[in-house]
Amino acid sequence: MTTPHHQEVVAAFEDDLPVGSGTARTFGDRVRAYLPAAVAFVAVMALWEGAIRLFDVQAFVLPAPTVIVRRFFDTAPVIWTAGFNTLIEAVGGLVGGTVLAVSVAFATVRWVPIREGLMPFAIAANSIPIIALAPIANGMFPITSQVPKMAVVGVVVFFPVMINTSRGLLEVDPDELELMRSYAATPKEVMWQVRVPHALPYFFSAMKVVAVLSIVFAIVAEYFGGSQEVLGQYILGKASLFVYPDAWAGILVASILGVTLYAVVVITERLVMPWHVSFRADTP
Amino acid sequence: MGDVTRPPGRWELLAPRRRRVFSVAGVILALILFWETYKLVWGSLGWDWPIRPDDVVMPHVWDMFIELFRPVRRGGNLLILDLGVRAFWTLREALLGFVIGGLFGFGIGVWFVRSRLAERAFMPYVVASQTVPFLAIAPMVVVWGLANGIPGWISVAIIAAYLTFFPVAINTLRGLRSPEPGSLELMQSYAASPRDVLWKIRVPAALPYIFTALKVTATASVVGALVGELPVGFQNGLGRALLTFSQQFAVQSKKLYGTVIICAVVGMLVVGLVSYVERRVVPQRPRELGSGPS
Amino acid sequence: MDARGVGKVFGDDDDRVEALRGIDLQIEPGEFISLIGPSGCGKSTLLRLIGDLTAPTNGDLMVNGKPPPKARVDRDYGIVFQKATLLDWRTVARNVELPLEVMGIEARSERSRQMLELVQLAEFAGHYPWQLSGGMQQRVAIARALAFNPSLLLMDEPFGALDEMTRELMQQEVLRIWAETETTVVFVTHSIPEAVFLSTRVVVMSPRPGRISDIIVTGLDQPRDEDTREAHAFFDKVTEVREALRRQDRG
Repeated sequence: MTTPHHQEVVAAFEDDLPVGSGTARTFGDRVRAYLPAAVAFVAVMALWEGAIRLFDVQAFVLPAPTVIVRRFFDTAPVIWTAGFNTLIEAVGGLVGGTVLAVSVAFATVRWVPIREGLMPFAIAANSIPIIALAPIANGMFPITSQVPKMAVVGVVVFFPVMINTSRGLLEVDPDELELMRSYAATPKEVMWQVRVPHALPYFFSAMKVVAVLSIVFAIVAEYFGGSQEVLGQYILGKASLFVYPDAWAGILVASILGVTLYAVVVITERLVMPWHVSFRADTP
Repeated sequence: MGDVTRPPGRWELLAPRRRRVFSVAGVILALILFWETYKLVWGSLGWDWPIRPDDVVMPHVWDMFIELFRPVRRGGNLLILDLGVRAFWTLREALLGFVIGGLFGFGIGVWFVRSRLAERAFMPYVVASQTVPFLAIAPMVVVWGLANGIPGWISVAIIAAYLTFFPVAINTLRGLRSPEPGSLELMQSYAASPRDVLWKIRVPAALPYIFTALKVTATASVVGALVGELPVGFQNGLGRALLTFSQQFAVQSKKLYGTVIICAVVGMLVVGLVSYVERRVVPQRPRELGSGPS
Repeated sequence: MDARGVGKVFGDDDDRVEALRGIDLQIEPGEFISLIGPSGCGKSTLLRLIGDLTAPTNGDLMVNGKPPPKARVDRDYGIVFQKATLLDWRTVARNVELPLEVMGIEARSERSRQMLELVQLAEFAGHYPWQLSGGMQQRVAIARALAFNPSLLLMDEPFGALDEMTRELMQQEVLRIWAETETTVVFVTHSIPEAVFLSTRVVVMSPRPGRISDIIVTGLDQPRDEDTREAHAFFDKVTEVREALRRQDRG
């Protein structure tokens, strides 16, 4: 399944920013942009804490923030170990899926039958709830293995990245192609001078989406079974023992990991495409 | 790209719709062939890696289908009927949440277009709501609901709504802002009311964008529903079947595969439904593969 | 239309652009006026002022004896832009009906059919805009602009994107429609022959700041046709307008 969410999160940050539309945004501007959000965040946390203490709202499953934070620090060694293992699965799937996706994308440029055959299938396959493959993957490998989770993440990553990158490589302005042809450029030159630069924004757009997805799907795949040392099983275990603050601490780790992977992609994007970011073009 | 000097071959002469169906069928057939060949070759050579080709881990493809027409348990209903009931259950939750989330997302989009102030104030929260890995906490949300007397399927519907509303909101906003300034000036020259501009110009322009988001979130809703059905205490739905058969993999692997097939069908059904509605509502202009707001 | 001392300034104190200064112009009903001049002379701005798509910074402007905002609310004029700006999701007929819907006018499909007949596109009523050529789309835009019978028609370089041959055909069409409907037309253009061919009077404008430098009466016979284009009188007038434009550079 492609994802909607973070593609749109990305777009929201990049083109419909709440603060003005100028291209020069200073650090001060940024801070001011996120100030209302920060204030509200603090307000919500305070409200939550207050509601729990005053009204004893089912603190059972939804504990107060302070409790969660304390458990987060108390159980640090355990949850971060689990987090690390999950991260390995997520990154493994991310890298594997991306490499495969980009390779196939290049293949769709080179060979028309692949393009015509694979694209419709990829778009159809996107409508399948990939998570359903998790139990099968788990069955094919030992239950404690990290491989099945990587495989699930890989599949989730593959489709959006492949579709987006293909689009970026293929939907080049015909005029540019004609120009290259007039230079008697080789297909390789056309690929690297014209297609790849054009495809980079599409590629990174998809990467931002799947970076966060990789963590989420690694965890959900783990819900179907896994060793004790992974985040999904940790969270599930704590929840089934009714130790909810610990479970939420695990979720916090997941959030942090997700945001970190996203940040890595953003930084890589800035390094690779400084021109694009400074223009703030409308990312597809 | 491609050589335009050759006369069109058989493939080019087929209507695009037909072509797509053949492509998908072709790839599926290729995959099945690969599966069975792997079983054959690896099996006769006695290789175990990466996946063991025995009939538990890798049942024959036709066995998977046949299993659907066998009873779930001794003297029970046919698997396919049982799964059908479960599918109905899952679909109900997913669609309910999908529709609610979609309407809510659309409403937010319209609101933010009318009021720049509202957008500045609330957009950060809308965006921040997506940094929580909601899918991962889906089971806990369901448990929380059950603890508070909320039936499981309502919690799951809420999960689906949550996963749906953000992309729909963002795409609605983009689409509502997409009309050319010329169209808006034209309406100004007619002294049109803001409501006219919204419903005659902006909303119709936004529909392609909205449907793009809907197609993707339809699947997300199904995924959300499946994951939400995992916790103990939730008896119905396809997610439960997935988990149960997964835990009994050694003996029930064929049933698991059958369930996965049904899940895939459900996913495609939902997206197909949205596509069908899209075709009726939005005039389709012939397009190159992959151009346009999708 | 009656403009006295009309001026328009864009931007704030640090960054002012004086688009128009001291415009004095009277247009009688039934006339066909062209506004012509180099880039930046304010011709499009003047058109927009008449159509109340922007407001004058100073001076008096009356359209049909009313201030422009009232004229707009009273739907006294129709406007055609350089881009046809038809709505993709509506058929040609429904596009023509758009202003009628907004203005709550009844018997829309009848009226839309009439207008499409006027521009000779009646068989395309059920088509979608992308199925039509550029020239045809502009004709639909004209039909739409006239659908609610405005007394004034404003056209901003409507044929700018068309090729020369189509342009000449469209010019003929516009004249025919003008004669049949008896509307007043204010037409912005870059092309000297177009201005002379179409108008009763040509208003020559110059830039920095935008102002009227000359008003030339064409005085050619009506109705105009292909022969007109090849008449001596036509060439003389074109030369006269060209000279007027050249004088600005020296001036």
